[in-house]
Order: sequence, then C-alpha cells, then structure tokens
Amino acid sequence: MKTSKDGVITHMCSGRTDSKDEDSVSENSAAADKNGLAGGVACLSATNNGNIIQKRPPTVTKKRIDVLKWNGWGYNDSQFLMKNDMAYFSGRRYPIGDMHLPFLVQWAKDSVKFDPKNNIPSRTLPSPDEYPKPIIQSGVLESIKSTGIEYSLDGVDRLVRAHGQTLEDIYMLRNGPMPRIPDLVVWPVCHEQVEKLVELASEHNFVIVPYGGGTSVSGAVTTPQHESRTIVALDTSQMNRILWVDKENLTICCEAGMIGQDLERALHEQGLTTGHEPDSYEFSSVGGWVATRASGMKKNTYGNIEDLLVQAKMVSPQGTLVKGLSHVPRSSIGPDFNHVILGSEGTLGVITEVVLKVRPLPPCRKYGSIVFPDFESGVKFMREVAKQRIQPSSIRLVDNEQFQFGLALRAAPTMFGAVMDHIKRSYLTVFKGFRWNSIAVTTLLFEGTKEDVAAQERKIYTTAEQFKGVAAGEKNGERGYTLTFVIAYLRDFAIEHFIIAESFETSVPWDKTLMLCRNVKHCINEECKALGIEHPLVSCRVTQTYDIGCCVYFYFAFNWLGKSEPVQAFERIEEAARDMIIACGGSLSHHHGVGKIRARWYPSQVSALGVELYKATKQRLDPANIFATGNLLTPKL
Amino acid sequence: MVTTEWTHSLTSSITAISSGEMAVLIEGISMSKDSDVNFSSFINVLDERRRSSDFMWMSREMNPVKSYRQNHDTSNPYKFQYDVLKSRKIKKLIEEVSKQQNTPESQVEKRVIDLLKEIGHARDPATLRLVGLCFVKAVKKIFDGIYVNEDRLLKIKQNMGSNPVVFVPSHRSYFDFCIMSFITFSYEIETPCIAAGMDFMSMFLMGEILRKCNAFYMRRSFGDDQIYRTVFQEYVQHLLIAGDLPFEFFIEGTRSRSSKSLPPKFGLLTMLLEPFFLGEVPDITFLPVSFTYDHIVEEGLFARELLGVPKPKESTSSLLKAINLINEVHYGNCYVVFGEPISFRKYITENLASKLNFVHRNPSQETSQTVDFGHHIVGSQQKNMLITSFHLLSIVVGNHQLVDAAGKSLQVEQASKDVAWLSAVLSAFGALVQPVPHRHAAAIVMDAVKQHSSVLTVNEAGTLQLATSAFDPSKFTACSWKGHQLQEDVLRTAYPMVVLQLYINHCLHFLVSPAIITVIMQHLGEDGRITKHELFEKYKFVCSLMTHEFVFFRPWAEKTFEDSLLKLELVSIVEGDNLRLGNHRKLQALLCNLLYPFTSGYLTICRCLQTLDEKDLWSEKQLMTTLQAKIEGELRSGNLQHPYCLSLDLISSCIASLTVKGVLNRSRVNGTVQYSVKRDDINQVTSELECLTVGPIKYPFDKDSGSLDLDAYKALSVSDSVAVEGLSSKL
Repeated sequence: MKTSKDGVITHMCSGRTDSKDEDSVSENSAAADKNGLAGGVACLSATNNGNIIQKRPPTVTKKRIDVLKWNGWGYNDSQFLMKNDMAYFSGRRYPIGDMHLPFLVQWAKDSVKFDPKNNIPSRTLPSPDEYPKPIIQSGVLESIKSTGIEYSLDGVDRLVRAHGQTLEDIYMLRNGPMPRIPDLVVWPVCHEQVEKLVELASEHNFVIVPYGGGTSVSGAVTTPQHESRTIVALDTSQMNRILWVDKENLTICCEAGMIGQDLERALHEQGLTTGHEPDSYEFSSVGGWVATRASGMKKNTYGNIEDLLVQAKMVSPQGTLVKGLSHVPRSSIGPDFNHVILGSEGTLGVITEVVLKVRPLPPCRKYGSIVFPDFESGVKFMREVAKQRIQPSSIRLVDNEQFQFGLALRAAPTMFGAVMDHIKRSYLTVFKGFRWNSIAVTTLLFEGTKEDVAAQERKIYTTAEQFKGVAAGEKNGERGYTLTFVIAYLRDFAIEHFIIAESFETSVPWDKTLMLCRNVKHCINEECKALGIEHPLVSCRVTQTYDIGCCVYFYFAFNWLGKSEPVQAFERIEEAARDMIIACGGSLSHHHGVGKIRARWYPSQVSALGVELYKATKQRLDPANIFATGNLLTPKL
Repeated sequence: MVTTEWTHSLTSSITAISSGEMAVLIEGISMSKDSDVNFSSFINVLDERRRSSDFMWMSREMNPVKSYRQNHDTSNPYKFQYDVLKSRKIKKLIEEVSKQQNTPESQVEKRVIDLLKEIGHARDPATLRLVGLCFVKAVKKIFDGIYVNEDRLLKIKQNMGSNPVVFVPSHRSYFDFCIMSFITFSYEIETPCIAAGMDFMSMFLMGEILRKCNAFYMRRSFGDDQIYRTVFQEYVQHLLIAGDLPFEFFIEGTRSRSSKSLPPKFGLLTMLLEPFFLGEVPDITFLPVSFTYDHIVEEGLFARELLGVPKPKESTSSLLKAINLINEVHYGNCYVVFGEPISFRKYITENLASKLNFVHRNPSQETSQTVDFGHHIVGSQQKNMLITSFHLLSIVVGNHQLVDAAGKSLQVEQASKDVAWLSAVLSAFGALVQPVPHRHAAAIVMDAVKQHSSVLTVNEAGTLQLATSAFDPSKFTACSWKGHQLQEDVLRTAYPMVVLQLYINHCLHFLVSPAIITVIMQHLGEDGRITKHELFEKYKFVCSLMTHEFVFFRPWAEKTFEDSLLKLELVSIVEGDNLRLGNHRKLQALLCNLLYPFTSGYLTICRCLQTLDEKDLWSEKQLMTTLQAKIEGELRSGNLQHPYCLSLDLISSCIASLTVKGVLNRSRVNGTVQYSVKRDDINQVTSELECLTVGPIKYPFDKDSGSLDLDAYKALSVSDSVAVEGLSSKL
C-alpha cells in the first residue's frame, strides 16, 4: 500500500509486483505511479475530500488465465457441467453455484434437441510454439523497453488479448484455426505511460488496440486480421486506481482500466455507488463502458454511461482530448466533445481517466415480478410505465420462451415447494385464464428509501392491473436478476454440445416494438429453415424503457449437429435479423456498439455526411491510423 | 408455299440469336419452368369418401392446422367483430365522420356495426360439418373424382403457423370455393375465410349458411363510401393480423365466364398486403390454386352469357334446380393443383430485389410491387392449369370445324391421333397435360365425349359431331338481351362452338404468345425475313390490342416473348431433318387458327367502327349491340368463320383495348359512359390488323400425325423435363 502526496491511498496492485516473476517483462512502476497520480489529479483539477482505501487486489490479474477461462466466458471455477445426467453449475460465486439443475436438460432437449452425448470438446491451451511469431518492427521493442513500461511477448498473453466475446471469437479459440493475434502486450500503469506509448506508436508506426475487460461482443477488440504493422495490445488493467472521491459533489475520478466489480466494491465501502451495472460489469472496464456507450441495468435511477460521465481523458496521437477544466453539472459550450470520446470504440485513442457521478448507496432494495397473459400486454404495460415515468431502478419483460427457460434453471424444489408451484400455476391458468405457453413476466428492482420503494411498488402494481398483470412475488423477481450473470456461462456449455447460442440487442420506438419483435423472430425462424436448421429457439425481452422507446434483447439458439460451419450460419442469420431490425425501425445497437461485425451498417445509420464527419475527426486525431482497430467503418483493403 | 417460306424466315431469325444469348435464354426458361407439378402425384380425395362413412368422417374429432398461431382466443367471430369495432382505425373513423357530418358518434358507430354485421363471417363448426356432409353426398354424384396434388398440400400444411396464409384459387365455377373448403377439411386445415360476393348474401338461407362456413361479404364496388371502405379494410386486415384462419379470395375478381384467366384485380390484394408493408404481419404466404374441370358445371350458363342470352338471377331456388339438373349429367373430374407457396417477403426481397423498410414506406413502389405480384399470382395459377383430354379434343374439333366444317367429317380415330399428338406438343411447351398414350387415345377421347354429350356426340359411323339440339334458344327470345338479339339458327350453331371455345380458352395462356408470333411470321411478305427487333415490335402491338383479352403484363413482355421464341424453336424449328416438315406446318396452322377467332373478330369490329361517324356518341350497350349485329351479319354471309366472335366478352375486351389505345374516345356524360370513334386512328389499327388476319389455314391433319416421329421429339425435349415426361408416357 502506498500513500500518494495528495492523500489518496491506493493499493499496490499485484500486477506491479508479480511481474518480477516473468522473464519477458521489464518493470519500472514506482516512477510511473507517481507521475500518473500527479498528472491525473493536476489535469482533472478537483478538490479531493475523501480518502479511499482499497484493500483488495483487483479481481483479474495480469495473467488473466489464472482467474478467467482462456476459451470462454468468466471465471475458471464457474461453469455448467453434466454431472450424473443432470446439469450442474460449479463454483460458489453465483446463487446457483454448486447446485444440480434438474430441469435444465429436459428443457434443452425439448427446445433445441440438446443431447448431452453429443460433445465437441475445446482444444487445450496451445503450447508456446503454436502461437504465430510476433511481428516486431525494428526499434519498437527497444523503445518500449526504454520507457520502462511492462510488456510481454508471451503467446498466451497475446492470445487472450486477441479477442472479445463474440461467438466467432469463442469458436475460434475452441476449435478454429489460430488467427492473427497481437504481437506485443503492454501494461501502462498511468495516463503518462499511455501518452508515451502513443507517441512511440506514431514514431514507429505501429498499431495500438486498447484492451480493457475483453468483454466486447461487437468484435471491437478482436485483432484486425489484415494488419501488417506491429500490433500492440494496450492492456489498461493496471490503470486501476480510484484517484479521488468528492463526496460533497458526489463525483469520483478513476483510471479507465478499473473493472466494474472492483470499482463498485471500493465505492460501497464508502457508502457510494455508480449504479452502473451492465451485465458484463464483473469483468468490463470503466474505459470500455465509455468507449462503447454502455448501458446499465439500473439506468432508470442512475442513468446510462453518457449520463454518468462528467469528464473523460483520451490520449490520441495528436494529443490528449479532455473537456473543460472544472466538473460542472452541464454547460453550453458548443458541441460536447465528451461525445467524441463516448462510442469511439478505440478508433481515436485510449481513454485513461474518467470522472463519474456517484450516488449514496440506497438503504432499501426490493425485487418484484408481475405475470402477464402474453407478451403483448406486457409491452403495453411497459409503455404505460414509461409514459408515467414510474420506472423502478430496473424493469424488464421476458417473453414466454425466457419465462420457461427461467423455470428450467430452478434447483430441485422441496416437497412443499413443488406443491406451492402447482398451486400457483393452477391459480394463473385456471382462475386467471392465462395460457401457460403464452405467459410473459416482468421483473422489477426497486431501490431507495423504504417509503420510496413502497410508493413505487404501489404505482407499478396498480398500473399492472390495467393490463391484466398479476403480481408474482419477490422471489421470482430476484431469481430473474441473479441469473443475469449466469446466463453468459450458458453459451460455453451449449457450444460444447453442438448448440450455438447468442444474443443481440437493439433500441426501438414504442409503437414499433411489438412489430419488431414479431418480425425479427419470424425472420430468424425463416432464415434457419432456409439453412435447414430445425428447432431454433428464438426469444426476446425488453430490458430498458425510455420515454420514446425501449431496448430489446434477442436470444437465439440452434442445434447444428450434422451441419458444418456453424459460425457462418450464425452470421447469416444475424445479418438477416439485423436487416430486419433496421427495416422495422430499430437501431443498429443500443449498447453493444458497432465494432467490426456491425460496421457494414454504420454508414446507413449515420448518413454519408455523418461518415465524413467521423472520418474528419479520425483524420484530425489519428492521421496515421495508429488505432487501426477497423471498428465503425470497414477498412478498405 | 407461304408456310415454307415462313419456316425459313423463322429459322433464320432464331439462329440470329447468338449462342451466348441462347444460354441465357435457356437458363431463363429453366428458372421460369412452367409447371413443377407431377401428374402422377395426384390423389383422388373422393376415393376415400367412397370407401368409408361420410357421417363418421364429417363428425370425426380433428385438430385443424391454423394458418397463423395467435396467443389469444380467436374462436368467437362476434368477439372478432367487436375487436374490429374497437380498433384504433375504426375509432378514428367514427370520430372523423361524426365531426364531418355533425352527427353523434353513437349514430356513426351504429352504422359501423351494421356494416360489420353485413360483412362478418360467423364461423360455426357444427353448421360447417352439416353443410359439408350434404356437399360430400352431392359432390360424389357430380364428379368422378377430385384430384389434388397431395404432396404439395401436405408440405404447405406442415409449414403453416408462423404467418398468415392466403389461398388464391382461380375462379371457373361456384364449385371452386366449396371444393377448397372440402379439401381443407379433408386435410385438417382450418376452413379459410372466403371473400364472397354480395349476390350470395342476398340468397335466401344460403347467405347465412355460407357465413357460418366462414364466408364474409364484399361489395362489388365501394364507390365513394369512405365508411364502408375503411370498415371492410379493417375487417380484412384484422383477419390477417389477429386471426388464425387461412384467407381465401379470387384474384380474378369473378368467375371467368370465358375460362380464360382474367387480369388480376388489385383492390383486395392491396388491402391484404398493407399489413405486411406496415410490418404488422411478418410475412404473408400466398398459395395459388388452379382449378380445372373436365366439365364446367356452369358451361351452358357461361356460353349463353357470352352470347348475351339473358342470365337468370342467382337464387336459392335456382340453385336447387341446378342441383337437380346435375344428376343427369356426367361431369368427370375436377383437378385442384396447389402451386408453389409464395412468400411475399421473399418475393419482394429476392425477385424484386427491394429492401424492406416498414418505417419509411414508399407508396409508389408498393403499388408497383402489388401490381407485379398480382400478375405473378395469376401467372402461377396459369402454370398449373391442367390440360385434360377434353381440352385437347376441343382444340382438335374446333380446328376441324374451322377449316373443314363443310368438307370431311372428323373421325374419332383421327381425332384421337391428333389429341395424342397435341398432348405431346403441349407437354413440350411446358404445360401440365393429361398424358394421352397413343394406344389408349381413342378410349380417352370417347370418355371425354361422353362427359360432354350436350355439345359433342359420336354417331354409329364413328364420326364426331356437334350437337345442335341441346340448346333451345326459343325460350330466351322474349327476354331482354344483353346485346343484339341473335337469330335462332345462328345461336344453334354458335352455342356448341362457344362451349368448345371455353375449353380451348382454358389452354390459351400457354399458346397465345407463340400463336401471335406464328401469326406475325405467317404474314411476312415474299422475303419472309424479319429481325428479332421488328418481330418484337409487332408482337407488342398485338399484345397491346389484346391486353384485355389475355393477361399480358407489359413489364414482362420481353421475357414472355423470348420464352415463346424458345418454345417455338423447341417444337417446330429445328436445323437438320429431324422433324418432318409436315409436323411444322401442322402446328403452325393450328396456332394460327387458335388465334383466328380473336384476330378476325377484332378486325370485324374495327371495320365496323370505321363506318361510324366521328361525331356520334355511343353508349356501351349501343356500341356492343351494333358490333354484335355486324358480326352476326358477317357470320351469315360467310366472311367470318368462327361464331366465338359473337362473344360479348371479346367485343368488350376489344372496346376496352381500343379505348386504352386512344382509338375510341371514352367520356362520361351525365354519369353514363359514352364512346366516340377517332377515324384516323381506327384506320391505322385496321390496316395493321388486316396485315395479320387471313382465313383459317387448312392443313390436311390426317396425313402424318399418326406416323409421328417420336425420336425427333425426344431430341427436342431433352432440355425440358416436362416434355420428356409427357413423351415417355406416350411411349
């Protein structure tokens, strides 16, 4: 632990100490620390009236594979497995951890013809000589060494930073051929080191791909395959300090590499929270949120990243872009350059430091759920909630397929529980006239004081009655939210058994919502039919509500046993679905970003002049295309 | 000698097409391969009905397949009407109308409710089963068989559920929709909601019974009634969007009295497609269904109507009488061919290569897509029209009557040979033809004649004769005629020929384009040569003149033209000596003669128009009567040979085309339509038409069709699997 001259206490992160064990890594952290801190504070010029004590080391270490899977999502110790012919979730990190899930297999058999016997194992972690030899332009290594910034040429280090979490990425890792991967990984520890690196890149004309949490599902961090220059993966994970906390104005400044759960944990100790909770928040970084325009589950209370962001620093080859000198609530000073940084997807520079709004931790938190006879009534209800602006922190609507899926993820019920389940089910189907296979469910999360929560609940449940909604209890709501973080693990389990499962999202005006859901589902089914894929599972949910529309998430899965090239099939389906989304008036993306896999639609979304404007910005900030990530605009080959 | 000259010229014009173009053409034809239905896949659905109890069958428990699965309960038709009443559009309509007319909303609402009651179907499965039972009993008496291409239907059924399904049958008889419902019931598909004409509604009892069998009613014309239009449209769209029953409508708008396909009507189609353009349904599957009857039950009615003999009003009592009559006649088979389902979404994204956009709509593009699609559906129906032995026989007999009426009589043996020959030729043309093997030809022909004893008989000497006694015109002389009151003797001879022409018309869509080209080539001068471009120009002229006679869709003219050239090349022009010259001439003569009633009829009309004063104004009825009288005169004097020229359908089609061409001036005076002639233009059209019209071409049919060179045909049809099939059955 180390106290800075400004009184901010930070920890010595493990990355800075354990690197001694690695041969290929040079280190020179002390000086950098000091610079970074001083620089950060000076630049962002805030008064600092709080002390931060971050006791824990960061969750994700520099050697990522010690904690995280190299070929899939999340922690090494957490995954779905088959155990005694039953699905089982390992580890104890999640609510369903170390539990048998007796209904899951049957559900999967029914919906996607899952068969536990069909197994397609992943390759093992490649041995050191299997990685492509790094392409290192002359002088690059020497100059990086001279800065004292840690780096690595190790194959595993490079491979794990060559990809995000798209299906293509994961399939490549598990069974595909070895692609182009970064040639070098660097771990700057502060803003100044990043500036130094970007300077070197301009000098030696190498490529920098910023890498934060690696959770991108747009191909944005995936290594550009046709780049001949040296590609340096700039891992921001060692820039993970909270630089200051301003409890008076409720703002904090943190470095961009900090991942969500570490930030929240540290803030909770101070009785604060950002309230930003994207589904990836366990692993995604603050810089990544800004660069992709992330959205959190509880945006109704706290806002999306663009609402939370007060200021961001971005290092571009032409200098550091930072807006304003003081942290004001809003301003009218021409176009807001924060919005050049927001959504830049690593194409303009590296985000290094970020000032965010924070809120006091809410004293009361309560879940809830409402059952609707069908998805349509659910959507009408959501629209009404948005119209009245009575959203709780989170409100989501899942369709029948996901409702059934949620049930499938139950643990074995007790005798009493089974009886109760039966009674509840009968109540809905017999007394309320609901059809079991058309029911849709809204899950709710209320936050605030006890009184606030009670008032919110009252409003929500009365409104729901107008749409034939029936309150279905806290338990169901809570399950819905706790499963959020587990669902991402399911894809790896599925892929191991010949099932491709993926999700994509969009935002759409209210009056087009039902039309879009219906047409996209139909489109996916038809596309699957055309590809000879039987029994695709298509499901959707409304995850966010706004005044004028909502965010819709689609999930789909299909069994590709007996077919070849599942990734191509998937891409064809996703492309058709995206065309359909756009035809129905939906957006290219609500919060996943454009990246590489949606770049072909970008021009039609922002207009030709918009593209020119973006290009002009890129030309001004990065004329030599150091940040040649290939995101947003498909590069001309 | 003219014909040989002509053969050469056609050959040379065809060979003028480079081999590269040829490849493209062939590819084009394989893409637009005519019928993809296999004759052997037909199943007679009545077979099963003759084996087991109708009552048990009708009352069986079943779980019919829905066309578009919905999450809500759809079983109550009155709830459905209520939902329409409460829909956003109707609410808005009521508000607007009440404001506009300054009447209270409740009063407007009452009007809407009345309209909904007038339109609405009243699905009642019990009634449907009862009606079905009666229908099955009757239909087994009337028809020998109802044949269905079952494999296609089962596939369609399997794919139902994810979006609305619209059956689009061709309309040749009132039996069409009854049989459709019977088939859907047989195959456990939900009974479609059928758009029916108002004339049914006014029938005692039947109106309500049909409602219970899922019929809903549509006025023939909407006029300026904004309320009716909106209510009807909302009703129809609600059926698609929120209903789960298949939809059924007749794109031709009415029963085709002439048995030709009618040009598509776009009113209802536009209404059906709108929910798709709005994104309210993800797709609409259209199922073209082609009905073919060995013997159209209403043939006599149609023939009389074409000639202008007054038509009795449809009423329940006349229907019962008709049912009684049915017992005495033998009606053969009905063939119901289900075409390839057409996904509208795929049609516009793939065939028309347009990008979907439900938010920023493009009305003019939507209109052109609707028009295009309407023609596509009619085209798909045409492709799968079955040509049966009687259709072939009608062509043969009709041709014989035209060229040899006074001369030699037509022997059954000779007719059989020609029918077999024609079957092979049409197969090669890509039509779906009943195979007529040579050795069974005579039996098949005899059977066909038996079904049509009212118009065609065979005497002891084995001679085919038109029956002239079947029709007693004296009954009608007192009634008010639609056109000119025809002479009795003319009627007697015309009637059987017009009936035969109905069956010829049924096949004409396959032959009309090749026939036009043949006629044009036939009339080339001494030189006998024509460039492809010139040929196409002339072809387009004839098409434009007959655009109301046959379904020609202008944007497809070039493709149709190229396809026809290719077909002609396949069957009549081949380099080398594989084909006997005799065969060419025979087909050429036949094609020209097929077009003869139309070209000669049109020419007569034009000549008659030439004699009219430019200043005179004519009402439509006056004009038709005058023209029909003139044609009757020409027939009696022997200048015209074919009595089908008397057809009011032909005359009104001609008037309509001439109006479109601007030759006739159409104006509305005090609400009635009036015509006047433009002398210069009519002179020009007449002279162009004169160049194309001569008398029927005689060709000694009995000479060589018996010794048909089958090897030659085999060589021809390699590129055409349909043809090979037709031939192999002949071998």
